[in-house]
Amino acid sequence: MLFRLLRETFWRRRQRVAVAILAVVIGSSLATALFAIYADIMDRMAQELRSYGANILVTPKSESLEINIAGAIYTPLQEPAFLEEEGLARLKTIFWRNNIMGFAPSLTISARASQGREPVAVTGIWFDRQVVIPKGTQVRSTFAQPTKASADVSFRTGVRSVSPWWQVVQGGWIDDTARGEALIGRALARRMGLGLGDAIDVGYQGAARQLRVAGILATGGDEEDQVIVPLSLAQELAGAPGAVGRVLVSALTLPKEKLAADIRNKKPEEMTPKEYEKWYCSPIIDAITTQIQEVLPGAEARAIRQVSEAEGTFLVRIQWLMLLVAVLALSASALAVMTAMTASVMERRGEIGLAKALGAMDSQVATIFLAEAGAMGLVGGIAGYGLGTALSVFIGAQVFGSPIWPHPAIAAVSVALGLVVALAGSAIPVRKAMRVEPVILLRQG
Amino acid sequence: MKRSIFPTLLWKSLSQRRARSAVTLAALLLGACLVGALLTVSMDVGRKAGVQLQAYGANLLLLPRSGAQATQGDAGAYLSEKDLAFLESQEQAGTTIYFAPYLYAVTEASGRKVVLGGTRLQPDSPLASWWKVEGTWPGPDEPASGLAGVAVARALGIRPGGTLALQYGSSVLSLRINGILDTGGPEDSQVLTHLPTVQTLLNKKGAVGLVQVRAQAGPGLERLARSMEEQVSGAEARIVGQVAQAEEQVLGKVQLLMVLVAALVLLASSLSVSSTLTTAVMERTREIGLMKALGARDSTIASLLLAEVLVLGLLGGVLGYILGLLVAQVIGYSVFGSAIALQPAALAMTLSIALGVALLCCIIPLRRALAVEPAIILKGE
Repeated sequence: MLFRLLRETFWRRRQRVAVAILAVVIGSSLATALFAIYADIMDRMAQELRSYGANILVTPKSESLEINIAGAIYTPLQEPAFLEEEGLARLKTIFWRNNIMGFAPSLTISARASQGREPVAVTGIWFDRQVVIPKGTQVRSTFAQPTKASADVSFRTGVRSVSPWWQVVQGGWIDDTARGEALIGRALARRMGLGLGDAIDVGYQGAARQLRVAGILATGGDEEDQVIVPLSLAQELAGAPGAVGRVLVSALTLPKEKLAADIRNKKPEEMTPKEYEKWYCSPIIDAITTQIQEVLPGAEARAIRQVSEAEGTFLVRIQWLMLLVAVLALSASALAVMTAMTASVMERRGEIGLAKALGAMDSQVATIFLAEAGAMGLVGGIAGYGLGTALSVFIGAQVFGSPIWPHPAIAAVSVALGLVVALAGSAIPVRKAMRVEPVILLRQG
Repeated sequence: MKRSIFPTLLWKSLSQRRARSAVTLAALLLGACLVGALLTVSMDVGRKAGVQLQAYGANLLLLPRSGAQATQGDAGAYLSEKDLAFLESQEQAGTTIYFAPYLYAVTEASGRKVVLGGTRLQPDSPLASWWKVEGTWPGPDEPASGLAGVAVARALGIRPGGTLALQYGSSVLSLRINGILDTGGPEDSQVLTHLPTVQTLLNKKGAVGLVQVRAQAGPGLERLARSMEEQVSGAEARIVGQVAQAEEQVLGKVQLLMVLVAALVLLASSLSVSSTLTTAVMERTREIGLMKALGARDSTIASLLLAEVLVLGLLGGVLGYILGLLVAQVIGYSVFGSAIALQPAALAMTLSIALGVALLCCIIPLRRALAVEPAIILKGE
């Protein structure tokens, strides 16, 4: 009986019903899309920021002071403290190994140049290298226990992916195996009057090399005053095979504010084992630097605070902005759905009067109206979730270049929202109408 | 005659159907409020979020053209501090340009080489927002005070309040260390003090080795760099690729995201406003039939209804925009801690959307109602 009644009213008033359902669809699709974006925005933006450079600097633990003024290194290599190039692949075995987006080891020496009397900083670097973590390597896959890698994992990294703003303005990149070629910083090239194809002699202690200028490099940073060569060449010049002076690491991290409040301001050494585990397994920068120091003995990993703090506040603000916008849009669309439902009930006050005059009980009338509202809310909520998914996929593709898929939990929220708002919107006018005498309702209708 | 009765008709129609008019007005107001707030926020979000990224530090470096002081040691070329005066008054796109001049000297302290940097020690500058100081910042009236980087402090065993003797050539500078500086950058292995102190030590009055500049990201940065090269003699302006590129791209994404969200909300609220309006006009089919039966011309009825909707649209649009502005300020203060700038374009867009949607939505049901024979409408079929 109830089902037939519903079918009949829906069919007779299909235009009105369509309008009411449309309102629900719009409301819940907005909710779906905006909350999907809200849930994902911090990760997306963090990833976006990561393509603009390293946020962790790994250096050998050493008491010697770095004499570095705007990129020119004055530290003599007499008390060498180095990291081992060999061990760097272990960066990809830490707990948050998948968050290590890339790393670039380098070694800078202050060399003599034949042209000009000033010393020239020569930096050896990985341009684009293949790193292989062989099968059977210990990997910290869980907090408690390391496991062995089940297959070879290979990974490409180097300065070209870690610092994508490096530009070769003339000539081209050189190969990591090149021996007689170098890139030269734009400012240095101008000062020394060097052009593409020219030769530059660099000497360091006993060793000397003649290098051909294969490209002019513009970075906006210290490198513009340096000669850039493959790492292995710099190591040969320095007579220190396998030595690395520093490693820039680009790690995907979330701001500290994402930690639970009870451990946010605690120092790791003051935490209980359980809290420590929670901290260790959060993708925050301090946890990642700790994990890097665990796998690279003798290394000191420090957050480049300038980068990590700027990004942290930025991410927290942007997420907060999205939340406010989502709540705003949501409350507005809830109100719109409620008005649509109210209008649709108000129109039918006459029907309520008629039903009551014919002897229907209040509960029966309410059941019919609420069932109607519930059906509309359900249909609208489901359709709204579908439309909202399409919207967030579209926005994700437009803004971040890859779709944002709403979390399944959002489906439940979106449908529940459609139901609740539709029911609430019709319950109030139905109750009001039932208090009025049927005769009056009939006369008005 | 018609001219005089028209306002009366309009007023009566609006005031006697108060509840209905109020619902329509409320729907328009809500939509306009939401659209106004989001448009205002999305137009300003790039600048606002840019302020957050200021903590990235300098995005422009000013160096001597003939080679940085650094690469040539203490005998290098210098910039003149006087030439920097023009930066003080410079404002770019409504935001202040921040800058910090640096002059370096390689000194010796207890037999170890230490870099001494002279600069303006400004705790509240965005160029130092990530600096952590244990102890106090040196006051401007104590020339022989400074900050020691954490690595220096560790290596030389200095505590806040201690003194450090730095030797440069034959002269010795005795510096009171007010605080220990932790920046996570190269300053950690340097000692920083006031600029004039280093200028005196090097005997280079008014000389500056390098200037860090923080300016608004975007296409204006390149222009600013060129104009700085003209103003400061012998200078090369270098855009810090990492910072400048990151900002431009990320802020572009945030702006695009907000614009898309605003467009989405705009579409949704137009649709929900339109459903309310369509019902409001449809309800009055009987009235239209009555007017036609009494001899009113189609154009008279249409202009009466359109005028009604126009009044509601204008009122809802203006009030909604004002409310939206308040909402935008709430967002501005709670997210960015500062007011969102007024966007005249947002007002124009909100109003035209409110009016456009209102008019568009009543045209279709109105035409339908006018096409029907009055007798049929009145009979209620």
